[in-house]
Amino acid sequence: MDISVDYLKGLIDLKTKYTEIRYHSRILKEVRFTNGRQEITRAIVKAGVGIRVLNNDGCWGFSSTSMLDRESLVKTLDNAVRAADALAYSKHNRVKGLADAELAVGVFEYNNIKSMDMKDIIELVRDAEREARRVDRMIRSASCFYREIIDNKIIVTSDGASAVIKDSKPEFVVTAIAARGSKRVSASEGIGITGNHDDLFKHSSASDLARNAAEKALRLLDARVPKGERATIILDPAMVGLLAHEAIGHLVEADFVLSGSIARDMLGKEVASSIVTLVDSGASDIVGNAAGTTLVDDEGVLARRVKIIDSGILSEYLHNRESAYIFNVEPTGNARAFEYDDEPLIRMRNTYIEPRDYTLDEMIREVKHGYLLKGARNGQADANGEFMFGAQEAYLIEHGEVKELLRGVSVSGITMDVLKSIDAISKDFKYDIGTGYCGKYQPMKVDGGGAYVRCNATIGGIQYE
Amino acid sequence: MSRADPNMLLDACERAVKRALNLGAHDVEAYASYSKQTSVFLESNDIKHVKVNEPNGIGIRVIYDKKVGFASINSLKDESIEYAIDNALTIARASKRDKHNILAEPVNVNMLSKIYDKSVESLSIDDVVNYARGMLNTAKGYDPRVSVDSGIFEASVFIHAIHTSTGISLHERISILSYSIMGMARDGSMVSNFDVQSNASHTLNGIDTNINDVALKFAKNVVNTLNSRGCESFKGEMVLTPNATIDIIKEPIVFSVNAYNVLRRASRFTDMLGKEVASSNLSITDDATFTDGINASSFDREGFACKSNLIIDKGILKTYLHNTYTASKLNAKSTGNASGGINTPPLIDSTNFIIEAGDSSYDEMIREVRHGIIINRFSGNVNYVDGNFSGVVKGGYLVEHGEIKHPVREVMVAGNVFDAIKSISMISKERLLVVDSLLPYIVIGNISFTG
Repeated sequence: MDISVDYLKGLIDLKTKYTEIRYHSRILKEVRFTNGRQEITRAIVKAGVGIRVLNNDGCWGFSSTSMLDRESLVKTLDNAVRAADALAYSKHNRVKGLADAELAVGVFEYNNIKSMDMKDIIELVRDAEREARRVDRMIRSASCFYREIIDNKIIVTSDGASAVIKDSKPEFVVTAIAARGSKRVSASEGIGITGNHDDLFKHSSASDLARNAAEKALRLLDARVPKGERATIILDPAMVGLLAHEAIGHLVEADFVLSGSIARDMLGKEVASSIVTLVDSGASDIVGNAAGTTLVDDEGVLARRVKIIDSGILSEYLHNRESAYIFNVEPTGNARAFEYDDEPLIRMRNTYIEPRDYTLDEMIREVKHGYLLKGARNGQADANGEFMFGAQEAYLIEHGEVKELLRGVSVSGITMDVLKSIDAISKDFKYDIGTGYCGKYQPMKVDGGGAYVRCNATIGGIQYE
Repeated sequence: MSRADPNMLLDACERAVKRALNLGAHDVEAYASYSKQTSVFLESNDIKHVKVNEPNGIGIRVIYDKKVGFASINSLKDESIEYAIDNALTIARASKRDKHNILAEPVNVNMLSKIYDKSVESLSIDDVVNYARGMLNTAKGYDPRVSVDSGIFEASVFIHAIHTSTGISLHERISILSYSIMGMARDGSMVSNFDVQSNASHTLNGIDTNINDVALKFAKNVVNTLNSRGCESFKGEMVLTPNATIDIIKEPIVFSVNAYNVLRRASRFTDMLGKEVASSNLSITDDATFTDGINASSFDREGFACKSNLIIDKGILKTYLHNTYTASKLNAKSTGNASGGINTPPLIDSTNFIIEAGDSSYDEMIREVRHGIIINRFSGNVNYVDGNFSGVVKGGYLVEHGEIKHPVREVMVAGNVFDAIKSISMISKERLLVVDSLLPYIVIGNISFTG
């Protein structure tokens, strides 16, 4: 069934304070190979309409349906209104208003969207997985997947947003397992972007990524786990992306600020060294194709660039229209919903630290004892500013030289301490956490990056006796 | 027929199987589900909004010349089903042959009776709002310093149905209440660690007590850790609470007994059946028929009968978890662990994960700890392949000479899961049900803490 802007506009309920209607159709294709076996091949269609209303008492209700006929949509709208009305006696802090925003009108598409043919995906994944196993006899196993998510959205709101949004986010990951005797180690290489499959392999081919994953696993096979200690660390762009996301990004989501995150009293204060400018942007700033690229958010607001930290000073939070009204600022376009049946929440987009003037070699030369950390794993933020994030590889640095490769570890620190300890940032810039998803009741595609960054943190390693 | 009618789902599956066979598929499996969910969200110490969803859809797996294809769509209309069948057949034709691509054969399925409570289905939006408000008020009422960042209370009814060309035809209705609460305590500029507590059940029995327990546990955890301080680096014992056990013990073991990871040789337990993989005080069962656990179900994603599977018996690895594919490939029997919803072909997962109770009480255990840390929550990375884990201790307490000294902060913990499960010194008698896991407290030595 073809859904048009006018069809959705015709449903808007003028009796409520605000109505937001979002049609979202998603087509997902995925192929996964493991050791020459075709493990998963799937095509998923998920489409429907999510309706959110703000009633005259200042309460939100949300409902969704996959049935797109007018009767079902009217019933869904009614469910949303009933959901909002159910809060009449329970909700204390009523929504007083929604901040005025630059609402999107028209068609928005980041890049020329092209879906890859299933047959071509199967060949691509099969060949890359085989390539990884061919690198060495010690590569006992490999797996590889390609996934593309193509979205078509229409968002209309009772106060004038009317946007058609087209988006495509492919990703590709190869994992290799090296084993010798009882030792076994895995390593991955991957890339996730906004764009099409040509853009995906613009910088490294599928077979390069496969070989790199296998070589990384072989390198790590004999590596020891680092010692647990506080140390100087140099982070690669992927780790910097994760630092920006976990150490500060979550703390400045305005819903979290309102709950009492450590960032609540910090606006206008120095939270990082003066060389740090940290941004969350809906656009793919500096270089293209960042995976979190969001031109228009799911409240129909044109996404803008937010300088969270401006030369060391905490300057702005990430907002939806409700929180922007409370803080009396312009909405930032951070309200994002994962699928049609999800309501918009304040989420990051592309979060990064701006590059500066160092080279990586200069940064390493100045370190007496420390670690160069590469490749992002999971990360998590905490309310008190204590965050952790994981690296895939750790290289020991002694007297200005990169020495032994060590196993990846988790690293932790207190946001303010770590950001204030940043004393060098390099020139080279890259987004590199585009294969990850951020979790907050719903998954969400985000990206992050930066240049190499030097700071101090705690290495979660082993206490050798 | 109402959308909430199991027969309607089964009818859609039958239509899909018939149509796909007509279009040339050699074997077909259609799995459909419907659910009605009322969710109340908490945010910033208040109720945020209410959400009412009613998703349904169908996943179709076709086998053509030993090649498999899968497609799903969130609609049960004929033209939608036809579209998904086309996609599935296109994928199958382009795919690789594998003689182990077979569907499950019909087996006798005992339908569980305690996983559907009609009174859950008749809850009104107001009722669900009241439960959410109760959870919020209990947490806030415990101490004014408690701040609830977010939370959810969800009541849902889930129906699934499956029909296959091999003769399976099943449907079932399950009710689910699930809830979680997350936040911190704040005293002036001092902020505690985050804590999150969750639980779930199939029925309304004892729901008020259970909500109360979850909210109070959360509130106590965050308030008690407000005055945390650092500690020196040392090597000692970790006391895992059920929450921390999920991350450090359960997930790596679930990964290692998943037959797909055995096929990939990614599992540390590859070629270890019948061998010792853990200390003799550890026994683990995966049990989909345990109706207190939220993953209880009568049949799995392939229509195979769910059952109780002893995975580790006194330290000895007894079985991997299988679906029909891996069972055929590894010359075993399916354990009824085919997992996934409508959007994925059947994979493998644990259902309800149960660790057998030990013989010391929690208090006795703590008295035996010479130098260690109680880990309430683990925030970190665990490498399931090599077993190395490293992360931050959340809501932790320092224990010295059998006494709990003080809450700790900024302490990292590191070790190896597979070494750790071979040196479990104590397991508690007390066990807690956490959503889909029944877990004791566990003490393990020789763990690195970095302060």
